[in-house]
Amino acid sequence: MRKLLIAIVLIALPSFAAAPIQWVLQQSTISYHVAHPLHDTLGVSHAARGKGVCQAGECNFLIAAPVKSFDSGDSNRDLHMLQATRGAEFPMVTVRTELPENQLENGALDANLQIEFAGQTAEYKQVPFQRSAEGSNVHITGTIPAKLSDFKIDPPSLLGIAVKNEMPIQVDMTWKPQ
Amino acid sequence: MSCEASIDAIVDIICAYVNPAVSVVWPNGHSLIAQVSSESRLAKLGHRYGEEFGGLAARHQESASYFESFSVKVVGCDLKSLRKPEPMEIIRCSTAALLLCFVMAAGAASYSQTTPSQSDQNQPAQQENNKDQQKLPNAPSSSKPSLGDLGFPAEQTQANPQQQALLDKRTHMLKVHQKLGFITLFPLAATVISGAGAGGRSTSTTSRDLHAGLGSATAGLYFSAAYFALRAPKVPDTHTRGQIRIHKALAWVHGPGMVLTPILGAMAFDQKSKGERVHGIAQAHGPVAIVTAGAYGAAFAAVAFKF
Repeated sequence: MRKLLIAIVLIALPSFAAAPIQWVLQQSTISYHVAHPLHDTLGVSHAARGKGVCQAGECNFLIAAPVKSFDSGDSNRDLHMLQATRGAEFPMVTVRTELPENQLENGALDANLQIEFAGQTAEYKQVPFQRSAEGSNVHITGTIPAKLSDFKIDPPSLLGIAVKNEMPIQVDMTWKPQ
Repeated sequence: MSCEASIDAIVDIICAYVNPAVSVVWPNGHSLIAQVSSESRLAKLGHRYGEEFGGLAARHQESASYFESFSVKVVGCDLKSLRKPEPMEIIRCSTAALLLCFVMAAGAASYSQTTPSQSDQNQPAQQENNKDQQKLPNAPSSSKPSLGDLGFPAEQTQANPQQQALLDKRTHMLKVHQKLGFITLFPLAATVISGAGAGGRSTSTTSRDLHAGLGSATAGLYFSAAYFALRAPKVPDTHTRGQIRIHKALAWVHGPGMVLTPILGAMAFDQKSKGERVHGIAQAHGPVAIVTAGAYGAAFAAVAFKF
């Protein structure tokens, strides 16, 4: 009897102790900014999806968005962007990060990001993000200092003048615990 | 290059939620987690600190006592980082721990069976995820969400080389269109300016010939530029939005204008050459040319500047 009780306790334990905490990206606005001497471009996507899994004190997050979901307000420019970034060949931009679970409680957090875009992978260390709680949800904002050269993208040009190499990506996300 | 060496210390054995794993901590603080595959019973050991330790493999000694003993071997390691070797420790789990491990492994198996249908819909995503797990293997695979978990439709995540080729061709042709269109601005402006001196009563003037020559060059460049815009492949399911709409709409003005202007100009030139006053429809040459040039300039501005 005693052995049976121990066995039952042992069987039940993992479901309580090791259940990972999951986060789901509820809504997001991700935008890239590209500057040209004649005009600036802001491409915005609300189509990102994301998931986070926290386990054993570590959280792994994945955020992904279709490249063609970025809208700059000009279909011609968006198609050029899609071509320049080889968006049909590599249709998704993905961001991965691994954070200590306790960092999620802080107002500010620094994340090491791994971004896959245009068939290339770039890593960004210690990117600062701001965190605020909205009920049970968590609101995260920040800017990733991406550059076109990080992804081996030839800078598109207009009238013989290329856009600047800097392509800051602004992130505004709301995560919901599951 | 592979080698085998005893690790300095085995600190702990942990049973992760999904897969049993061996946690190894070196005296220098570097840690590794070995995930034990229940099928192959070979573990892929990851390393947190990049290339320092290379890959690790762990395997159990006796299949009958799966969780009772592990020998941990270092494969592909850099021996320099494994100095001061100590005798390898054999970790023995208690019966309770063994039971716990088996329960967790069973839980993991049932958990992993719930997701493949979604993952199978997306082979590239699956491959990508597998690749990523090899890159960053320091955590249990289940704790890392994959692209397949996000529920994107397969057609959104799959590569489309045909469409990329279409986009490449389109961009190439529109770049040529852009260059020729930009170059056209200069003879167009020169033609408009030289038009001021193309009148007069003389039957033959140099300025009139120059105006006609510049006009011909403008028309030639214009139609070359137009050819590349018209022949550039269209991307299906794309709706024209933004300032490009203005650019395209203005083509309905400067396009016919660029056909009419040389015709009217030729008529006017002919009348002047005969010593006649420009009369009839040829009188519209100047106004049509100005409207055409204005529309062309506006079309250029619509893509060059944001407003």
